[in-house]
Amino acid sequence: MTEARALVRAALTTRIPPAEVEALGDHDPLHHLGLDSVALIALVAELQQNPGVQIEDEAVFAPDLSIASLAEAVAASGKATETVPGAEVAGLGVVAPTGYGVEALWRGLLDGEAHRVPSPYERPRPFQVGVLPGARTEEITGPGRLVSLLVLAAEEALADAGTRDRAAVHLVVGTTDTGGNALTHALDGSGDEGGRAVDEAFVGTAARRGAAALGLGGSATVVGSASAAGAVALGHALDLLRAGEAEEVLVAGVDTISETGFHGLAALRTLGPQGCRPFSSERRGIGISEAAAAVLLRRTGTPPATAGESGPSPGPARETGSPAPVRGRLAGYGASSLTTHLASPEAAGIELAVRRALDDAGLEPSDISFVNAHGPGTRLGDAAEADALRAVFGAGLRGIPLGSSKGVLWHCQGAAGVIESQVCLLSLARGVLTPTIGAEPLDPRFADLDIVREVREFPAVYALSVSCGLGGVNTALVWERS
Amino acid sequence: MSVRRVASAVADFGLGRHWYQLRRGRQGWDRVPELTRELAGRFTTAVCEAVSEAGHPPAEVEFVAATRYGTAHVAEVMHEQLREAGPKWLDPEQFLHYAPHAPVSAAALAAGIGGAGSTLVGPDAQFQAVAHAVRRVRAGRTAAVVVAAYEALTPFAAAALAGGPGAPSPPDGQVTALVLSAEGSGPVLTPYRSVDDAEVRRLAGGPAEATAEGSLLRALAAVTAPAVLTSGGPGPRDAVVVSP
Repeated sequence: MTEARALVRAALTTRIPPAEVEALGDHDPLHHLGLDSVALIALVAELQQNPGVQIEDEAVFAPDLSIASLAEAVAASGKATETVPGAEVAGLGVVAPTGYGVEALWRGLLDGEAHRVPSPYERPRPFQVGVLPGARTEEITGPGRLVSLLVLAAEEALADAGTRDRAAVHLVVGTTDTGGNALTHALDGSGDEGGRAVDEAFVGTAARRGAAALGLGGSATVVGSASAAGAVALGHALDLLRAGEAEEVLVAGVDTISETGFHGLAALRTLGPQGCRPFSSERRGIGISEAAAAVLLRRTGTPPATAGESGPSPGPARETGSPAPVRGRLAGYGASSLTTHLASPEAAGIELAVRRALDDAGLEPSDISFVNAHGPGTRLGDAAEADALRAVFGAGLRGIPLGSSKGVLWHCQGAAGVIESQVCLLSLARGVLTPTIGAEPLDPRFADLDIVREVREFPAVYALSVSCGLGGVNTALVWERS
Repeated sequence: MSVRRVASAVADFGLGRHWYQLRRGRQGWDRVPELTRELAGRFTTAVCEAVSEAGHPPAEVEFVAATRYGTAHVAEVMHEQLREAGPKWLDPEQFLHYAPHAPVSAAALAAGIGGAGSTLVGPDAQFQAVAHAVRRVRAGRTAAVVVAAYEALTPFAAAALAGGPGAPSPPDGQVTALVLSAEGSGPVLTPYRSVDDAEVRRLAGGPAEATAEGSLLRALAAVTAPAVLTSGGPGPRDAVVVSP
């Protein structure tokens, strides 16, 4: 009952100054706050947005309606204090070196193929980078690339979800970009400091610009939490939905091949000559790719859109009037900042993030069917992650298939957390695990792990996706089959 | 559940000597890491002070930071080095500070913060960070969240934000750290997104509205009386109601 009263008080503070709500006793009549009948109805409507909460008219219009009586009505509906729900996945969209769209991503994962070109920048060694098929160099290196990619992926996800009212959709963007090529473009063009070039140089405006291009009317947030930014963005979105502050949140992870980012990674000797070779004894570092991936998350319990109520979809056609499919569910998110060095991955930090994600989802390690590892293909990174997973899953890890899609996609940077979540969702929906390309020859230190190296049929319910970023950004997401 | 500001720490620092080095071009390259170090160091100090004052076990404390320009001074200098001298001149250690999350990592490491951490970037980032922290505490996901902000604008960034020619003198660098929690004493903070004039007036009730010019977190660190702090400007805006 205490939690139900807290729920009522929280709803009241969206309408009444918090001091007045605090001053009101649990049994004092609500009309002391000056709420009229319309305000009461709106308050009850907000409370009913919590899954399972249903408040009868008799309770709403009782003359002595108070926080306590309203909380009783909430509790009576039996759902107010249950485990916090996750969020439904209503739509997916992606552009990546596998091509345009979700189906191209799936084909690329199955076939182990993605598009790569020599780095467009001067380089001491012949590194390749992953780019969209057909992209010209001037597009790849252009200052507007970030938002262009974002919009492409987002449009697919919105159409896939059949979103009816874009004005209510919030946007959370995860990226490692710090201005990227837009910043260098603006620095080179000093005569244009008051114009568009300068606005683009501030990556914090990317979400606003993306939202404007997409016609979204909700909040627009940029998460800049290194290579885990996409996964962190999903965590923020989940909180927004659970708090009842949004019905739909579009989460987009996006990054480009920027000149400073590419050369910085090369200077740090993070780039490997063969790109990402997760868990291989020949792994030498990462390869990077441009990509954007978008997931439309919908608050659990929100009625799905129906086909024919939105614009044309680039995805598989649906019959008019049929409900947009739910692609799965984000069941939990966990993260930790635990690290001992800015440049070294920390097994204990990753372990903590995974444990927190499982706890958030209300699951035991044995509930997880497979793991999509961060698996960047770095010496220390793969080893730390494997140690973390061994600590969480114990001997049970031997029975859990594990893979890293970075073998195909390479490191999509800020998009990685979102695109790899899509890998989980597609694998869950289709009952198929895709191979970890480049893992052969396997490093003997991972011989105890069931690393998926060929296409495997594997019906599963829950998948874990791990994403990590430089500086101890450790995250884990639990995805559930619909 | 009421979420309170239970601790705060702020610091300003001069950017003059850093701007001097940035404007020297190639001659100033070897001194640029001093800006990176000072920014990370002052931010870390503020976060450690606030966490210590709040008294929550740092291993369970969460962390959300906000910044407008992040550490993009690193990218600016890298760009200059690439144009004028080539990739061999890049400083690998500086690239560790390329991402806007880098000062957050440094502060978390020093303060022993083990909870979830994130960095929000952009003009609305400070309000979004406060709203995120309040959400996490209200939902019972954590007992306390560090909400922090940092800014160290370069001549380019200061001029761009001013919308005109380059600023003749640098604004101060700023670091701010608050700890929000349901446990402890301090003013209650309640964020409201996108409210119109009438709603702001209604929320204000008795207390007067004040516009949080520049830094919302600075205003929240300083405020002692009931107030409504808004992001300013006409039309719908974000607001934080401060109550006893």
